[in-house]
This record gives sequence, C-alpha cells and structure tokens, in this order.
Amino acid sequence: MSEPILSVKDLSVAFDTEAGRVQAVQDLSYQVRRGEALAIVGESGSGKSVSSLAVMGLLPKGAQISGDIELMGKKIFTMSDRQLSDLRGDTISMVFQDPLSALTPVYRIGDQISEVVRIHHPEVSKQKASERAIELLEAVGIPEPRRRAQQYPHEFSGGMRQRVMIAMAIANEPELIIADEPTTALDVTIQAQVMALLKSAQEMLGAATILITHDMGVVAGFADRVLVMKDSRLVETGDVEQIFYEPREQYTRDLLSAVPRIDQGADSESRSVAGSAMRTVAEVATSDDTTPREQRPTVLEVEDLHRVYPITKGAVVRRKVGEQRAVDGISFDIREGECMALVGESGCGKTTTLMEIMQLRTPQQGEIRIDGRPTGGLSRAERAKLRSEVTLVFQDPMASLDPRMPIGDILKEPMRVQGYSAQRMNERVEWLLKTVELRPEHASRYPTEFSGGQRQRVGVARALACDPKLIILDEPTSALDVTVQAGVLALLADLKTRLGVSYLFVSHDLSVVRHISDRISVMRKGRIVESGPTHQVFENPQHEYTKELLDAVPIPDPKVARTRGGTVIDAEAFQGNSHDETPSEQGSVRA
Amino acid sequence: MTNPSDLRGADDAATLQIESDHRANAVLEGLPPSEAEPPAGDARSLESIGRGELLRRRFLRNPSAVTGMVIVLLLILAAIFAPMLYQYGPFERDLRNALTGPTQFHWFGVDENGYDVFARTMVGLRISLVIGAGTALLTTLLALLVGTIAGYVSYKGRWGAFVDGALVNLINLFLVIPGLLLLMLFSPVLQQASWLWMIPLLAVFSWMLTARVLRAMTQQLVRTEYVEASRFMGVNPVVTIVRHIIPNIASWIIIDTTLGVSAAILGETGLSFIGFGIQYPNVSLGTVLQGYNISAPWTWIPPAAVLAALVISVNLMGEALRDALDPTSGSSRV
Repeated sequence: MSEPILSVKDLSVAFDTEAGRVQAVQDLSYQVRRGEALAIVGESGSGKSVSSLAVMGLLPKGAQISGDIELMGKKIFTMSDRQLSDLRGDTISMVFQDPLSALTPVYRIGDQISEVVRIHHPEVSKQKASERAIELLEAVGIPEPRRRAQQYPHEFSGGMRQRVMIAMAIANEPELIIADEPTTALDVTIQAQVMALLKSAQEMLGAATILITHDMGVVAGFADRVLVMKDSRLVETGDVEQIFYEPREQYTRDLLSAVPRIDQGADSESRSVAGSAMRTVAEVATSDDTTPREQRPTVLEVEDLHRVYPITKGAVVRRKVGEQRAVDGISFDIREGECMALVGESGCGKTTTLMEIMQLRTPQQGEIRIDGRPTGGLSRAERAKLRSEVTLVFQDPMASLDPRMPIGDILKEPMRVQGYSAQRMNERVEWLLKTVELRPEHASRYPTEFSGGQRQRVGVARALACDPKLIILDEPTSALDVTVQAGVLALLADLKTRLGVSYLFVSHDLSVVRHISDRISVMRKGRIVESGPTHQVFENPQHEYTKELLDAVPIPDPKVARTRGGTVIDAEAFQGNSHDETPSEQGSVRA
Repeated sequence: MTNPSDLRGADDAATLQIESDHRANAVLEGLPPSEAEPPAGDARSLESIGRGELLRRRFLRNPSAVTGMVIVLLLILAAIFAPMLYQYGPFERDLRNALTGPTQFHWFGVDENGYDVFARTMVGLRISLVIGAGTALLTTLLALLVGTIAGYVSYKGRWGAFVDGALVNLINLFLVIPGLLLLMLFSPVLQQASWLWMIPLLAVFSWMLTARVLRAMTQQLVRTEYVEASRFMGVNPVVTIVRHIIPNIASWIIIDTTLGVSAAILGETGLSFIGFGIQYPNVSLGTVLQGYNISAPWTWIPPAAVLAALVISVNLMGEALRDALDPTSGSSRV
C-alpha cells in the first residue's frame, strides 16, 4: 500500500469554557493513504469537525492541542500560519457544509475560482486563470460554464454552489480533500448528485479524501474505510463492509440501526445491519387500526388550492411582469388517525401549502376545510378556537422555541390562549412532558439547556398541548442527527396510535416518511404528481419524478450503493480539453 | 435565524457536546419511556450555569467593567451623601474667601462669586445623575413603543405597512428637526415650572435612532419560528410583543439605556453650560462649569473631572455589558 498522505497520532484537542475544560477530541489516531476515502462518522459534538479543523491548522486560538499531525511527512503543528496558508487550497482543500455561506456574495463565481488558482500559482495570468475557472465549472457539470462564471453566487442554487465549492477544492489538484458534511444542507436528489461528483472527482485526482458526516447512508457509497467517533473518542474503525455488515461496537450498531431505509419493506437480502431500529417504528405506525379509511371522518380537506405570487418590477409604478405559481391547484384529504406525507424538494410549494392551511383564511383560489368547515367563513372566535385543533411543529427546534422562556411556559402558551385554568395547565404540562419522554421537573428549564432532539420533543409537546386533531409537521427531523431523528420518529408514530391524532408530514426525504406515513403525496412545482398509499408509492412508483426521488435516497449498504450511478466529473474538461469553442492551452496552470 | 441577542456561544456548544443525544436511541431499544431519556441532572448541574450567572462572570472578568462600576457607585454615593454632610450649601456665599484655592474648609476651593465648588459639584452631580438616568429610561420607553410596534406591524398586510410607514416617517421627522434649537427655545420656559421638565424634553429629541434599531430587530424576530408559532397558536399581538419580542431584545435595550445615560448627561451639561439648561435655584455640572475662571483652575477642573469620570465610567460599563452579552466577543475566553 502507498505511503499515507496524512497521519494523525494521538490527537487531543481541548477548549477551556465556563464549565471547565471540555475535551473535543481525545487520543485520535488515523491515517489516510493516497486515493483512499475515509469517512469520519459521528453525531453533533462528537469531535469530528474539530479533528478536521486541526488538520487544516484552523483551530481557534484558545484550543489546547497535543499529539501530532503529519501531512506528507511534514508536521502541521510546527508550521507557521504562513506556511500553512501555502498548503491550504493547494495540498489540502476543504468543502464546507453550508454552500450558501461558503462563497463570497460580492464576487463573480469565475473570479472566486480563479482566485484559488492564482493564489497558489501567481505566475498564471489572469486570463488563463479565468479560462481555467471555466474548465473547472464545466468539469463539475455546470451547464453553460462561460456564462455562469460571470454570475454571482445568489444566482446559483444550493446544489450548484456546492459544485462550485468542489470545483474550487479540486482546482489545484490537492493531495487531500476534506469534505465537512458537504450535503447536509441539500435536498436528497441534490445530495446524491453532489456525492457522486465528489466521489468521481476524488477518483480522477487520486487524492485522499476525508468525508465528515453524521449520516451512515451517505458513507456506504463513498468511503473505503470508516471511522466512528463518539463523545470525542474513537469508537471503531474498519473497512466499510466490515462496519456495515459486522460492526463490533454497540454504538456503531445503534448508529446504523437508526438510518431510515427505503429498500426495507421488501425484506431485502442486504447483509447491512442498517435500519433495523426503523422497522420497529414502522410496526408501531401501522398498528391494529382496522376501520377502513373511507369510514373515518375527514380532518382536513384541501381542494384545488392555488397560491400565486405576482412578480413585480419598477419602484415607483409597480407593474406585474409575471407570476410565480407556488401552489398550483392541489387537492388532498386527511382522515382521522392518518399520517399523510407531502414529499418534494425545496421550492416545490410544500411550505406555502402549510402556511395557507395555518393561516385559516380564505385562500386565493380553492378551499380548505377543517372538520368539514371551510376556513374562509370563520369568525374571529371560531378561528381562535380552531388554532388549538390544527397545530404546527417546526423544522428547526433551535429556532422554534423562545430562548427566553422556560419550557413550562412555552407549553402553557397555547393553553393560555384557549383559557385553561392554572391548575389544569400545570397538570397538562406534566402530562405533556411525560408523553414526549421528558421529565416533568424540566418545566423550569430553558430551551438552551436541551439538545436538539429534546427540543424537538418540546416542540411536539407544544403542538399536542390542546388536544389537536391535526398536527402539521414541517420537516420535523431534517435538522436532527440520524439517531435523534429515529427517536423523534418513533415518538411521533407512538403518539399517533395512542392519541389518534392525524399528521400532515412534510419532508423532502422519502426514506424518512417511509416508516411513519400511511399515504404519500409527491409534490413538484406546485402540483401533486403522484399520491397513494405508502407501500404502493414505494413498491410501484408511477411518476418519473417519484422514481427519481427514490433513486436519490442513499442506501446504507456498501454493495448496493456502489452499483448505483450518478453524475460523474468531466475529466476531459478538467484536463483542459474543453468542449468550449475556445480551447485553452493544455495543462497551462499546472505547475 | 440569528437572534440578535442569543447567547449561544462556545459555552453552549460545550454543553451540547457533553449532552449529545445518542440516548434517544435507547427509545428504540425498547426501554420504558420514563428512563429512555435520562436528563443527566447531576452531570448537568456543572454545565448549566444560569444565564445571569454567566453574564455576571463574563462582566466581572473584564477589568474595565469593574473599574467603571466602582467609579459609578462611588459617584452615586457621593452625590447622595456629600451634600447632606458637607457644611456649605451650593448657594451659600463666602465672599471673603472668593477665588481661593482648596483648603480644609472649602475642599475644592471657592469661585469668584464666593460659592463653594465642592458643594456645587456634588449637588450638580446629583441633578445630572437624575436627569441622565431619567432621560435614558424615558428615551428607551419611547423607542420601545415606536420601534416594536412599527417592526411588528410591518409584515401584517396593507394596513400594517401603512402604520409602519407612518411611524418611520415620524422617526425621520424628528431626526430632521433641529433639536438643539427647540431645546434652547423650550427649556427656559419649562424650567420655570420644574427642573424635572428637562427629562422629557431631552428624551423627545433622542429616541429616534434607538427606535430605528429596535424596529429592525423586531422585524427580524417577527420572522423567527417561535414568534410565528405564537401567531399560529392565536396569541394576541400585544402579548407576543411583551412576552417574546421584548425579552429577546432586552440585552440590547439594557446596553443602549446604559450608554444613553452618559449621552443624556452630556446633553444636559452642554445645555446648562450655554445657559439653556438647569437654572437657579438648581445647579447641575454644566452650570458649575459655567462659572469657570481660567486663571483659577480649581473652579473648573473638579467639575470637569467629575463629569469626565462619570461619563467614561458609564461608557466602560455599557461596553463591558455589551461584550458580556455578545457571544462572539473575546470575553468568552477564560
């Protein structure tokens, strides 16, 4: 085997805080060889990002570091910041988590890429660097690279920006690429494309790659070796097959079992242990409710709903130049005790639909009926009453709870509106906290004292506060780690059977709703393209788009995942043999 | 969304780190729900420092904060007790000793009119402090009223936008009014009624910028999910403002009020110095300074020094408070 590009020995990183010293990384050792893809997997706070920042020499000043990091025989910790700067972007490059904030908004895309080239190769002329930028853009599959290079980051979608980040990362043919959760901020379909691109870029360059992620599903198709971290320590390391098929540690098993799988219903012969825990969720969700759907009362009925936003131009005299059909005539209904999933990518109109329902007002066109009553004709008092019956759980548990209120008060807020007595509120807060598996004595604590998963439980408890008939869940788990997500999904499934509430579960990820929903509607560009019972949609998808969505979901089984294709990097363009009409000189910028 | 005053810094990250959520997995392993998510109460007591406690520690770690606080406290104590204990009053004339330097009887000396400089400085400090604090509070109250209402209604349809526009125009109107001229016009008239009129008069011309900032902050908060959540629960807008918006911008308001105290003191002394502020039979630091005699330094150095000490120490406190509340500032480093 070839020489290791990077070797980390007994790395420990600690930070001093008000609460005393916090160990972020302890005794971590690993090696990455040329052409090898290592995945560092762990939950938030397990120290995986800190360890990679240490490799880049980017740790904040207060960090206490011990151990050794050797990059191609050079010790990182003995180098000055200036020496490190020469390495960063040239020998090591990084792809960050959030493509929205990783690009400077005031520079053109092409200039940002050529800047990376010119910093490390000042001898390259501006002209050539910008030609190189166009080649790189073409290589990562951006259509019309010449025109796109002249655009600003806000004109690019999230997935395109991540492609640009990858283009910047490979610009100087680095020896080591570190990708820190490169796809967590992206939709599933885009995630699949970006991961495939990253993989093929790595293979083309023969670079060592470190992928940092919390999602085992992404790992399966990408990594050669996996390193599992927990609470700042290494838990297990091994080949990807070994980790997925025969994990030695219980924690690895837990991590894998929480991954939702789309290929699970059909009792696949996969040897991967992934997804076992989610099966129990599915069992809870489909319990012994035998009343046929048609006989149960309808809770929510949406009929031919439209929401059109005008696009206006002109500051003084506003004139309409077009319209954005955010929701374009959708209809569905939800029966009692049922979970309907509304699935689609960002921008397909899911959230607009939710907001139209939550407004409890007359929609622009169409009708929304709750319990058979149209929302248009409600009086103020009736609308206030109805607020207790239709409630919402938000996507981001960090943002949806007021940081200045103890959770007891947060839970009491909807009850206070409905005029509950103080004693009844206290009793209910206790019951609610128990129901969502938190302790009643936590009522006096503030949201910041809870972890993401616990906060989302508080969010669910608040939605349950006034015995609602329908809870609208707006991507309730997309901001959570996979293991935490499994817990929240299990809770939701359990509540559905115990309390008989209905859910409208909005998600962009089919695998998440697989285990909890009874029916699925797939939404695209403001329309529902396919809808039907969950198993039917999964086993026999009718619409092209549904198939596409299903294909994009990562499968946590290395063997299966490797058989799937995806966007591949355009090596020709990268070499400089541009398909563009003005081919630049070959290898002009490579020193 | 970033909350302007959210105190999530390295410390909370550290808390989260220790309290990572892998236990949720236990739910799936079939443990009874009550044990599924142990809150780690004991381990937690170490990390979960209350917000107030955290703030206190960060504030006290800053040496200039402590200096500022000590000086302000000393000046307040002096303003309260010195005029009670000192043998001369602010308008007692000792013409025989006119224009003499500090002695054991006249601590800061006597000016050319025979007034005792120390007595006048202390009484002036008293009034300046009351006016400074009162004006800052009233300014904040006005700004809070206009700013939060304008910010809250600005997203509420056509009428909301109209009200918001009207309030913003009101702010702009007050910004273009030459406040100093109007102060000079009204102050002497109102002084005849009571020196306390100085407070509303100064406040009316100094709330605008704070109101604009508060409006922007409210607009930002109105879009957060927890304010949205309260709307979807049917909570009354006034209750939402009081319960969700104001507490979340409170830290900024506190800082602004603190810094507003020194601004108001400077405004008042300035007016008094040119003769349009506090007038006989009251005395403020500005009026004491007005009786300066350049060849007798003891007539102007003591009141100027007290004024400077007051303003600087209040500013030091305000800035330390801002650093303590700002998670990105260096004060989180131990």
